[in-house]
Amino acid sequence: MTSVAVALDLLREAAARRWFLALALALTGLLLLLLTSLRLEVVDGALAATRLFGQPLVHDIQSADVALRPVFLVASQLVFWGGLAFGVLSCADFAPALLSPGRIEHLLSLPVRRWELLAGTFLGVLALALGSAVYASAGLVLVLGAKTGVWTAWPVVSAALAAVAFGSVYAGMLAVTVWVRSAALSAAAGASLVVLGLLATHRRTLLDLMGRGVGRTLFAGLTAVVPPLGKLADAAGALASSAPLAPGGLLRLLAGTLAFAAALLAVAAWRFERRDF
Amino acid sequence: MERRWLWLLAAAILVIAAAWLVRIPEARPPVARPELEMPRQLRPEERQRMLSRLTRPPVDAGAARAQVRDPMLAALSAAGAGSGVVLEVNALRNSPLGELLLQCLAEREGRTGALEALRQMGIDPLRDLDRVGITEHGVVVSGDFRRANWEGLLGSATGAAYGDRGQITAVDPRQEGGSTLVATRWGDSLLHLGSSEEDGQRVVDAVEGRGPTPRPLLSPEQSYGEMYGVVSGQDLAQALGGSEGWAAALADAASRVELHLDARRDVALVADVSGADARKLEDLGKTLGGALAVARAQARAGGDEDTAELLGFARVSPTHGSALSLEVALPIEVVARRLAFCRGDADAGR
Repeated sequence: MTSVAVALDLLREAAARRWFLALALALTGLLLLLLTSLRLEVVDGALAATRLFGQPLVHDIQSADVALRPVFLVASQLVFWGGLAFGVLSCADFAPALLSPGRIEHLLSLPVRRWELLAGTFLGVLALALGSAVYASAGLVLVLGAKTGVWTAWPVVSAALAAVAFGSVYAGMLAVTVWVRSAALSAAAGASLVVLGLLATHRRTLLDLMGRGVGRTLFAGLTAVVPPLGKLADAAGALASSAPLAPGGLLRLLAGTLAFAAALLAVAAWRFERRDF
Repeated sequence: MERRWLWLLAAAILVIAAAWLVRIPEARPPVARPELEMPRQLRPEERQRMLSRLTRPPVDAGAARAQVRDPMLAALSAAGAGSGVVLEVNALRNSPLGELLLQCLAEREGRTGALEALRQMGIDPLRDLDRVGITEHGVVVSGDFRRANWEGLLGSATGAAYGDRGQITAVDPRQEGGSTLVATRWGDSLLHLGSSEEDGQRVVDAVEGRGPTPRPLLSPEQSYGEMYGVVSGQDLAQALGGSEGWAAALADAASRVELHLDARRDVALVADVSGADARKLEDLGKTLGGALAVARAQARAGGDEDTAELLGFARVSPTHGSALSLEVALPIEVVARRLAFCRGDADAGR
């Protein structure tokens, strides 16, 4: 419960920031723009003809849910990668602010365990990422659903995947901040993890191109642990666009991503427990 | 143990779990490129084999030369061919690769195939054949043909005598209008199949050491591996096809390719490419290396793991002076998987 209280505190702090206000306004504006200006005559026409004649008039028109798949695919990728980039930049100074002189002493004087402070910060950021991603994707689903009559919850599930991916990146940012209280370094660590996650996605191909040596071994070791973010993004896209997906593979990928985040949080907790303030 | 160390222990366990979980199992674990000894020179047993094949030309063979020669290599060089390949049939037959190929042939042809037909003519291809050499001027076969039924094979038990031990027989053209086949026997150990009597005479002259010495296609020191040969740049370009410009550029850069295949266990192939222009050869090496890497990456990106795996077994060595080397090391289990289609396996080629 203490961690949840810390998380809620972080969400209150986020609400007061312009970054998140701007994000909320931008997402809302974009959804309103879609709602008022999107004209889906082709889809509307196909739907109307189907209702009227029992089949489309023009037979090379795809059904509405099939026609919308690319839209959901692109939206899921925007939420995934855009969310990662925005999250790394906007959340970089949460942990440094937590550890700032004066505030950390105050927090440590409260009946809160050190690891609960870290867990609360992590959960707060995760909730923020999840909320933003779900808001954007659910909004898109609502807009397109209202326009076309196609209702699907998969883009929202896909957005949740994006939030989990960001969670693994933020765990690394938090761990770095516990060592060095710097927003810039935290953001750099986040960006590095995103790049490593991309490299891990194409690990086998890249290893094929490398000659034997220390560099290859180092790369192989690093990319064996980091979650392959590209695969997660592909899975998110496949979910959003109702493409086939191996369920076992996705579950393993998710479990691995969560384990990686938990490992980084454990390292951060280890360091945080022994640090003097 | 202090509580804070438990965090580190938990982190270590979680990292291992993450590494295990994010490694999504692949359909088949990739087969590592085996570190094979590439065929680069005569091995002791091959040196023994090479020395045992060297013969002295007959003493009364006109302007006889004193030097010893390998009849098969002399026959291949007779017509001045630019390209030729020799298969060590006997050695290949007794290798794991040969076993696989024979199984394949037996499954495909059954007992009524070409092997059985030859056996009925007194030549057991698995026992009597030693080597088969191929050039653009014909095919040379060496082995033990003492039990051969020449009348059944060539239509005549004897041919026109030529030289010391040669017999030349013109075999009737095939009914479907093929060109005339001229079979030239040298004793009971060498058979040349060509298209003209002159070719046959040149072969006997070369083997018996008459006339001018032809430029050797392959020297005895090059007779290592279960398959060896040389291919001229022009023949290589012609065999690979492609546009005229591409073929001309390839022939210009690579004047000669020397091949050696070792199939004693796994399959190791070396193709040494030589050319007059070192810079062009270097470019060719980089082009080949780049093409292999791109093809492998494309195959992997396209989900074609079989092709990616096969391409992973090939490597282009850096150019040294006026030569570069293409090396292929294929594990025998990969070859067996590729030949599984012969046995009608469902996973053939996978």
